[in-house]
Amino acid sequence: MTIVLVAVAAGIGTLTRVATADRFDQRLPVGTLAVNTIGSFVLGRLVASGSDALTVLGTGGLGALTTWSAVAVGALARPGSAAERTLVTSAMIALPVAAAWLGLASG
Amino acid sequence: MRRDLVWLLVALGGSAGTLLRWAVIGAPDPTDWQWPVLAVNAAGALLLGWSVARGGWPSPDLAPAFGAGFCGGLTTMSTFAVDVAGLARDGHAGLAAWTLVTTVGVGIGAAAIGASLGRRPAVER
Repeated sequence: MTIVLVAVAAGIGTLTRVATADRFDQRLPVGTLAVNTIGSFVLGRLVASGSDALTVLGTGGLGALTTWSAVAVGALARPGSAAERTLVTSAMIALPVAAAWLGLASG
Repeated sequence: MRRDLVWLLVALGGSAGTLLRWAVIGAPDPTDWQWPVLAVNAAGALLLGWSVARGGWPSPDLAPAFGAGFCGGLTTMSTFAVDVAGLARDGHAGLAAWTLVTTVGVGIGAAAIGASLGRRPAVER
């Protein structure tokens, strides 16, 4: 049963991420940054609270809502100067980590 | 292809990637260095870099299901971010820094390798 719930949560998380990225990622990937930051915060809370829903919501929903592959590929392929790419990539990593910290502290 | 079918395939790709990630890394556990998280993130970055460099493998209709869906679901920012934050919070600054540096270095390196392989002329093209 858990495997079905993980798959469904992952489908919802994936669609939410892709729809948000489609709508808000322009020159700056603010949509992907937003889902990655929010997802990291909520996962921090879930882990800290020791929730039973960690596998379905954490691994399934939030794992699929957030993504690393687009960040890694974007670090190389984004338009703009190397300095701009470095700055954007740093923010794409620093904000989710900071949000995860806050989530762990608040859970 | 119908647009709603493209979205359905994106969701299925995300589910498939997520189930594979779950099989590899299990539940989030920010108490030690989680090399399986690095492994899925590097693998997904390599595959996405390769797909994009191929001009959207396997086809324009299916590229979102493979890239945003499968590779996006296989990789995760939230587990990595919680690992780094949890290790740092618990006083394991060295392990937190190691997780951060290896994910960024290996992950972006894998995307570059994937892109390089995807750009190479292939017989089937």
